[in-house]
Amino acid sequence: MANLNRIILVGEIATAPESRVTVGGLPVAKFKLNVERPFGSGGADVIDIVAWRKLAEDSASLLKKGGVVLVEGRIQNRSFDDQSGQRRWVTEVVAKDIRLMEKRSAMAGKAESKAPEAEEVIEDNDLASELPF
Amino acid sequence: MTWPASCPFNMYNKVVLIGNLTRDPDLRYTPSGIPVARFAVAVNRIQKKNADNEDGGGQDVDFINIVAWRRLAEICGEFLKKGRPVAIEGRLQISSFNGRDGQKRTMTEVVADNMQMLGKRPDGGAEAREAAPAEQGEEDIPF
Repeated sequence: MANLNRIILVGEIATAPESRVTVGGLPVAKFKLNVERPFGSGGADVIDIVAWRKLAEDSASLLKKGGVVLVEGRIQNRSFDDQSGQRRWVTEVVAKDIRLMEKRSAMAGKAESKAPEAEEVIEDNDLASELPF
Repeated sequence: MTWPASCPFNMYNKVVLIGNLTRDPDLRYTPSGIPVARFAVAVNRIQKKNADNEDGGGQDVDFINIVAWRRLAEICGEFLKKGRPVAIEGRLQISSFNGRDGQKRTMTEVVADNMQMLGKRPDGGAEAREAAPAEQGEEDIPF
């Protein structure tokens, strides 16, 4: 049986993308997306988004906090050991495509709340999520 | 296209999963009597042939928690069984709560609004039956 794992989200960027490069040299960007719940249910879901490679580079340069984007990808669960040695699970959406839902100029005009954008090397356990797509 | 951030319609949250149940659904009732069923679906990741060098030894399957409410919960509880293939349509929801140790925790699950059983019926009958969450009489269930 073929399996399928697909998610489409439209929401507001809650935290500007944080971009890094893995030890293997792959660009990766992470940000949080605020997705309002349907009418009547109230509240919103803040969903972690991960992008790799070109998509990561583009996210880091184009996406600003407060901007509205469409994210298409898959849901992923992964575990890692935190500083205290405890095993923790995270659920995130690995983006396959990200589209701006507003003009580039509008996105560029958003408040500059640049995240640290350095050639930082991320921990090995983050590599667990490194999947090609 | 401009889509102002202040616009209340700037949201969409849709998930489609096809996988196999990892356990029988757990059907319960809230104190006010609303049925709620929880289960998990194992969804295989697509394997790329030359992935091994970049994959970092990652896993090849995701276990996604599903929650269904009301009529759909009852249908899931009655007909879904561990190991059976199923398609789930819904939205991704993240809820936070305080754990027993007082620590704040978050739980991520897919709130199902549609479920379809896949594959053959256990008795060898017809294929794929759909269960809609809409209010239905007992006779309306397509089984």
